[in-house]
Amino acid sequence: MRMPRPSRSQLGTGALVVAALAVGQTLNERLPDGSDATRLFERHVRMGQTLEMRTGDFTPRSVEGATTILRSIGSSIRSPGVVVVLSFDFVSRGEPSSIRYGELRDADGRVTVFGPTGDRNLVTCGARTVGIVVHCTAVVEADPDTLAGSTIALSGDELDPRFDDMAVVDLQISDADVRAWTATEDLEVDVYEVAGLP
Amino acid sequence: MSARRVRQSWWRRERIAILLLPVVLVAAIAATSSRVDEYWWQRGFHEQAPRDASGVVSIDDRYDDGFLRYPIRADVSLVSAEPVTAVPGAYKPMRLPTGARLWEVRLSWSADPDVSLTGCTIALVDADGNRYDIDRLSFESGAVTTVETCVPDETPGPRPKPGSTAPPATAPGEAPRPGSWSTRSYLVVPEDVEPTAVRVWWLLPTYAELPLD
Amino acid sequence: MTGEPGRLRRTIGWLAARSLRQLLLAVGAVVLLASGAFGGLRQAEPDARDALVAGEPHLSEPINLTIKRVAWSDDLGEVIGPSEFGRYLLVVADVSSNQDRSVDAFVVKEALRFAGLEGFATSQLTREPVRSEDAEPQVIVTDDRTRLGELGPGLTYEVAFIWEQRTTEPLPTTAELLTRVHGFRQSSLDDQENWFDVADDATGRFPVTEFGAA
Repeated sequence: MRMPRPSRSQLGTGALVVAALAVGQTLNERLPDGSDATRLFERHVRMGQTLEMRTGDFTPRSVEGATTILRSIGSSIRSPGVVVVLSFDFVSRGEPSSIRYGELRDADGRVTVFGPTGDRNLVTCGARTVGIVVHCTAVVEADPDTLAGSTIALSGDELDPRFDDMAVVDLQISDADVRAWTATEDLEVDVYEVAGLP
Repeated sequence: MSARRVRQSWWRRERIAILLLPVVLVAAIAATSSRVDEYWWQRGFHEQAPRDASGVVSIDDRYDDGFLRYPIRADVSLVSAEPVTAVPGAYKPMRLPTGARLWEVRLSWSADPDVSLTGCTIALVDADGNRYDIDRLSFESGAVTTVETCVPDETPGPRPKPGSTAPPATAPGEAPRPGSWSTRSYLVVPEDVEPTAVRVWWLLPTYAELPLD
Repeated sequence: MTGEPGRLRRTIGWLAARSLRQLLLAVGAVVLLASGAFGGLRQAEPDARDALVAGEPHLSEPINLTIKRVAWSDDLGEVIGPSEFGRYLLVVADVSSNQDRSVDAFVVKEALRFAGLEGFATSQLTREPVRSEDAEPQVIVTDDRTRLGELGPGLTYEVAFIWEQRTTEPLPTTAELLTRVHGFRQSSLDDQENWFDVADDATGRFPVTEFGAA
């Protein structure tokens, strides 16, 4: 059976279709996929350093730990591990905003996710007036075996932290710190304060 | 046939389609832009209520969650906006955050007493576009503060019942809201900021802007 | 009339003309296809439920549960106060997760149930009594009386799972507990990944004593 010879315009159309498929395939491979396109912008910050995030200025101040904490607002807790308390300042920019999402990332890469509600792990940093400093805390329980070398990551939206800035704080916790904290009890924590208004 | 003549004749042949191409392109983009409306237009200050020559803004908004619908209509004008060092009726000194001033905003309102106007927000805005929303927890006034922002505390008028589809109603035993009234609100603003306008809104994108002059 | 015997004879003739291999293949194909109707030819053993034993940890992924005791009470004092329904049923257990990422509190709440009891309160507004398998407990950390939040990796908590039951139901002297596993997958609603698809796992029968009694 003889195959019919394609005409010049048919060949041209065929070539264009193949070219379009090839371009599409290449684009598909090169462009970032869903999870990559929605990735967070992780911004590393050291203690005492100020990070300009999209929604405001973030300054981690100090980190402490104990086996039991007494909170100024909310429940006091006793932990089977160590309670880590990160104190930080936040100043909204443009419009009132807050920090409502936190992650403790330990030395083994294990992650504890926490937010602004609950009785135990909490990030408390309410939206307040633009340009006014608020003193905030992130309180999270950790396994003392993997606590040294941990970081805490914080960002604005508790439900969906994608697309946005995330501040990653190197807590600089040493083994000696962990040993001291496992022997400390009844750490008093000022959970949240507007600067100048205790 | 010469090549030049072939090229000319294709453009001429297709000239109507070529002219329509940009129109079609714009229409196609507009038809697929519902996300722009949903995630940007509806969530920002994009529909400013009209302001007449005497500075009165006519707000015409509505609440509609698919189950309960009611209009939000009022006329508002700015009486004054200025920094203050004390709140009237204070029984102890005022306390402000470090580096802040307290501004008093007085507004004059008129609306149909049957319209629900609870649940509004007031803010001061500056020339850089920063927004300083009202926040009663950001300071201690040293006086008894009002609960409502845009309506009188004693006669707020109709309010919707949370979780109910019944139309907004006045609380039993409460007098109806007067046809016109004035409100006074206190806002915390950083010291060095000079606000340029008062903004009032219930549901975005509709809002009222009252310039300070 | 002569058509039918003719057809039959032709069919038999056709079959006889097939080779043995073709006939065996045809029979095999028919048996295989028919076996699909009753689930296959191989004998299937029913899954045996794992047994829950007091004091022994049991993993119902992602939650590790060690049942310590089962108790009842009509008043839990400052923790939750007296029960509206009249009776609390509690399970005191150690919980931890086997995961490298913290597990949300709702997963712990779904991991344990009483089996076969009635008259339990739900968390819904109607407060209509439901079966014990459908009732969500409160989970309270016994050390400091706080509600359990997310379970972090490497941490074990002693908690009390607390349900309420109508006093019109007889007070159980023994009760069957049921643990449940979850699967980790993406939600079809919002693409977020979490622990879904609860399925029954292990059971055990335990005595029910009065809470607070020495």
